[in-house]
Amino acid sequence: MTIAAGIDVGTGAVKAAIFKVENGEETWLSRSLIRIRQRDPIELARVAFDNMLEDARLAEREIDYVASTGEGESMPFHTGHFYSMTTHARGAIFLDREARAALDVGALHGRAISIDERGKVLSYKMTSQCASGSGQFL
Amino acid sequence: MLSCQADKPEVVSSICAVLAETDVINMVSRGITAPNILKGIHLSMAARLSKLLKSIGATTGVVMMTGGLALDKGLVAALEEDIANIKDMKSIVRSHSESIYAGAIGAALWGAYRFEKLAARQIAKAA
Repeated sequence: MTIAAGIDVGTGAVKAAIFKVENGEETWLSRSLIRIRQRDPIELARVAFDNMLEDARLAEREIDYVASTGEGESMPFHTGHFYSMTTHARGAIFLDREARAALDVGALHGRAISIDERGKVLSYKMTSQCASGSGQFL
Repeated sequence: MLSCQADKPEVVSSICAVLAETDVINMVSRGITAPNILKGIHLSMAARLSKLLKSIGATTGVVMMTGGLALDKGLVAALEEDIANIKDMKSIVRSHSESIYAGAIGAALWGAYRFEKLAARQIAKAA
């Protein structure tokens, strides 16, 4: 059994999830979402992580892997970092097995990712230039 | 959803968010209703997003919306509309109530995968 946390630090919010994986079966244990207003996003990532630990009644040492994604690369307590392209692809497959493309529209930019049935990224394209910020004021 | 009540959507600039925001301010002062302004923004974003999907070859099959704006029903509706109007595009747009967590879910699952891989390698090394 493996317990892993994923923390996605974005422009608009910090998203976090804890999963248990046992013999290929994925169970979602806990989640946390905090909007970024004025505080340091990395600090908020810690708050989100602590919220989840409390919610799932887990101690930090019970988490086998803390994965960061998005802007979370400088988080001091992470085990490793994953590119957001790969994490969104994997997340889309988890939410819908039939998904063959992920369309990530967040506060920073829009991005289309084509994926295979295992969540592997085949190709991607991002909105470029200043059109990106549209999610910010919506 | 406000944007779904639009009867005459007003198109905003799709080149730059700053220009689009200025457009919106102008529309407000011209007395254009909120649903029409919102729908205009959604349509201009949808046009850009469907172009992105087309450019990566995602013209058929299921497209899963992820990120915060996946919860924006107006945007999803506008995107469906836009795709229906494109001749050789048959993608099915889906959204999920947990779509905003997609990145975090993916990170956790990849993290678990990497951890198991590393553990297996260590056992193999010890043996």
